[in-house]
Amino acid sequence: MNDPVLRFDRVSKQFGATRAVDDVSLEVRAGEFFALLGPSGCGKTTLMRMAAGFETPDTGAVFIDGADMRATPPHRRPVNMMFQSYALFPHLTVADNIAFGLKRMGVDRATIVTRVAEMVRIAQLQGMERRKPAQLSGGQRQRVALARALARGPKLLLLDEPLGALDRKLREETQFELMQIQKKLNVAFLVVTHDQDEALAMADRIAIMRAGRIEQLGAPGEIYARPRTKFVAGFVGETNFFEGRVIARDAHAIRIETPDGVIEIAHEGFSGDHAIVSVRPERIAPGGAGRNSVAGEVQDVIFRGDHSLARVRLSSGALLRVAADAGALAQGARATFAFGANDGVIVDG
Amino acid sequence: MVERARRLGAGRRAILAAPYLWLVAFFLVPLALVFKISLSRSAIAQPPYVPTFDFGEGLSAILDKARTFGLDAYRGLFADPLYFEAYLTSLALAGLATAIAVAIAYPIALAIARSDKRLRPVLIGLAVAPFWTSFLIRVYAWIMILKDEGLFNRALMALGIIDAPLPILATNAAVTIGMVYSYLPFVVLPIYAALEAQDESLREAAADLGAAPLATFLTVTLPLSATGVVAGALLMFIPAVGEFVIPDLLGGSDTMMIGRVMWNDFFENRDWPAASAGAIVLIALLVGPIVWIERRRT
Ligand SMILES: Nc1ncnc2c1ncn2[C@@H]1O[C@H](COP(=O)(O)OP(=O)(O)O)[C@@H](O)[C@H]1O
Ligand SMILES: [Mg+2]
Repeated sequence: MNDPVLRFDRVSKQFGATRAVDDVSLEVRAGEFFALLGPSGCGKTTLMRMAAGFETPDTGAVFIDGADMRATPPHRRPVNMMFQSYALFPHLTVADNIAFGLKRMGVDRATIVTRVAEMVRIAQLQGMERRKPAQLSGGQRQRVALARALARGPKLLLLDEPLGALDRKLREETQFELMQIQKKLNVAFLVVTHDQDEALAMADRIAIMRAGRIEQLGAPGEIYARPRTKFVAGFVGETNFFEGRVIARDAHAIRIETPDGVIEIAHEGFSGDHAIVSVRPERIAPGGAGRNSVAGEVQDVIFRGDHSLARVRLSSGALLRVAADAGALAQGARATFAFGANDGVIVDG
Repeated sequence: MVERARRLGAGRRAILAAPYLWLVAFFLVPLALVFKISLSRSAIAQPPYVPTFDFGEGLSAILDKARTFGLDAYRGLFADPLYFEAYLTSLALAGLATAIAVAIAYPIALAIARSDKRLRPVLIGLAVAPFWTSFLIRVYAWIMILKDEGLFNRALMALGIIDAPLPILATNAAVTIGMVYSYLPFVVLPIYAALEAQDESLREAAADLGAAPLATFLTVTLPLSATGVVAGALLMFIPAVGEFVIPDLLGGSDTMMIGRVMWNDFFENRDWPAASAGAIVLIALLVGPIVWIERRRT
């Protein structure tokens, strides 16, 4: 019960000169929605393929349900994977694609038929059973791939960019469907994605990967509010960085000399003499109030529907992003912007 | 806009028409000539059949002559059991040789398709390397290998497997061996093309869904390469049925394949209409099933 469904123990993988995965340890717990988030080429797919058995770690070990998988070939591993390209069998019908894994389990025909019908219903593919993959739309193919991967009832499903091939509108709908199916079937999902919105929206926990390493692991809210590094802060959501020498400190706050003036930021045991601070656009308000204030000229305002994002040219030349009520800021206006000492987070370089 | 679309359409049609023009000029016209000869009667003349046409003699004379066309050559064909037997032997030997060639070619194609990407062009080059020497010489070489005191028999005797040489040369077995050898590259290439085009992630998906390597092969790799197997088999079977050189050199006097029978009619009996009728019937025998197979494939 307490064993994680999947555990990577210090795995590394080298392709030629590329260190695709570099000393990664992480656990996926039973029933959770876990997202591996990172830019393209950071090693997400490679890490996932090591769980499925298609890549062998150079060093380290992979455990599924507590069992060491080093000597277990892919077809004997109790996980299933939804491929980025879907990898549907073009010569088989939708029903036969879904039944493929069940047939390999040696269950009787009646069970297969029942199980396929159940998967068809869950994936909302009624009426498509006799079609071949080539006769389906992109969204339908995606659902067949999902149904096929879930048919064997794995405890852990690996999904490589499951929404990557869908258009924007379909993505959002499918996002919710995926979450519903995941909760309903109580399967652990390990989802690979390079889309931070997707990860933030769907996952219970997120691991941020960069160049083969895990840079931060935590719940979406925690990662967004408390990014540990500059990379994480910049990759997950929009942000502003202030950087400079620490000129004064007490137990609760430090004062930093930045090109745009001295700012004061709360800290917990920060001891360096040079600091980088991340301040989210929605933490900055137009007007004078607040511990820290900077001034600049509004360069442009991007309408985002529920709010607007203004880009402000500061005196140092840096661009400040400010989320504001639609219409509150006008292009070309000069204004001051303020944020409190608790609105910024000190991050590592 | 519409005008431009129409002109583009014309250009496209011209390009699409090119292969058809080629087919008409080099396949349909010669076929029509053969068909015409098959309706003529054999004669001691130059060329050795009547009627022959001269377009200077006017339409009515041509029509008069055309009335003398008849099915005598076809009747002769069906009356002569030699032809029937030759067709059967040809289909049987070509079918057997094709089946053996597919069985040998598939593992070769699979091994090449699964080899390192950089190595594949080299291996394919090796598979077609025999084409760099004359076909005739390679068939002669098989005489040296298969004859009583040839390589094959000497090797078997040296190993003590047999005491007296096996009479292989001048049998249907030798013809089959010769055809398998000669056409093998034609079978390897389309199967290789089908296997090479297969997406590796399909095999991974099969493994992921619990299929052991053999099950993956039988349920994914093999069915998805079926088009290549059919193409390779047809590419070999069709010319093998009408093969002349191999049965002539490796077969015995009793190996009556249709190509050889037609050769005899043309050059020894100088009965062009009979030989032409034989060719037309052969084409009819082959075209029906092939069209049926192609229909089912698409
Ligand atoms: N089979 C392979 N051979 C060589 N290099 C590879 C192979 N697979 C992945 N790589 C390299 O490893 C790195 C990580 O790749 P990948 O795991 O696919 O990244 P991601 O899924 O995060 O985009 C990339 O630099 C990629 O080029
Ligand atoms: Mg990837």
